[in-house]
Amino acid sequence: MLKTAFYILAVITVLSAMYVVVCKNLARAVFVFFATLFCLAGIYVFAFADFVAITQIMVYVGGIVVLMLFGIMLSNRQLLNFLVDEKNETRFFSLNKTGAFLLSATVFIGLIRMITMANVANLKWLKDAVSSQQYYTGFENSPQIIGVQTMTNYLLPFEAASVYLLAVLIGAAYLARKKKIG
Amino acid sequence: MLNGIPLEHFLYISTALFCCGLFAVLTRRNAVMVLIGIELMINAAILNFVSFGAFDKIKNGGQMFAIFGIVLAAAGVAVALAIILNVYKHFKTIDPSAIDEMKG
Repeated sequence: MLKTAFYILAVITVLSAMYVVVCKNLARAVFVFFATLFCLAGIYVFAFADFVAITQIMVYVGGIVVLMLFGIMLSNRQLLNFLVDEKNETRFFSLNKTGAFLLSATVFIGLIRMITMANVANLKWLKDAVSSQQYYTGFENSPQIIGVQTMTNYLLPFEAASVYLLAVLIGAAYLARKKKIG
Repeated sequence: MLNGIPLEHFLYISTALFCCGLFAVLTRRNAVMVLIGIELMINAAILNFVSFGAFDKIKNGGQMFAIFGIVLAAAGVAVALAIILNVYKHFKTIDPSAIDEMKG
């Protein structure tokens, strides 16, 4: 039952990601991206990362997707019948669709091969973690663990993230301000 | 562990997401879609963090850095969209290949 749910989520995630990548309609692509992120949050739950899953839904689905919709609506006058003039233009990376597909397929095959060769299920530190009962069993209170670790072991990255967020807040407000008032 | 699901299957999903993101970054002609491709790649990395993090509940490094990754991605998107809107005001397009000068 759990496995079935996991594989359904996995299939939806991968298929919707592929649709996002090839879809011509920008608004539809963003809404399908929403589905990808939602199913990905479900997959995080299967890895016992409840808190990360909720954070994903709040930050990505609640924030980033809405921001992207704003970006598309403010920067595209013909939202529904947008221009398709694919000819006679240089691309950012001067690769056509076939070349890009071949490149990503090569990366995909290489990574899959690497994962099979690495034999991750038999890594030493994973076996040690299993034998010393350090793995999640599903009965832990992961938000509590994360809270304690944030204030002890990972305090420096936490503070760095807060300074970074302040810098981003100032930078984004500065970039988006109205120029030449009056 | 992991509800009986092999660890490799999480990594396969993350590989597929990464390659979708790479394809989007290489082919899309709209800066917002390139940004979505980058987000897909970041999510693939976060999925790897989370799936390996399930084996370490004492220090919990995987989940912690997954959260830091989400924070960095969200902040990056905010700045990138501000830049995209500025570029649109200036060039009247957000096709990355049409933007060929940095003078304001």
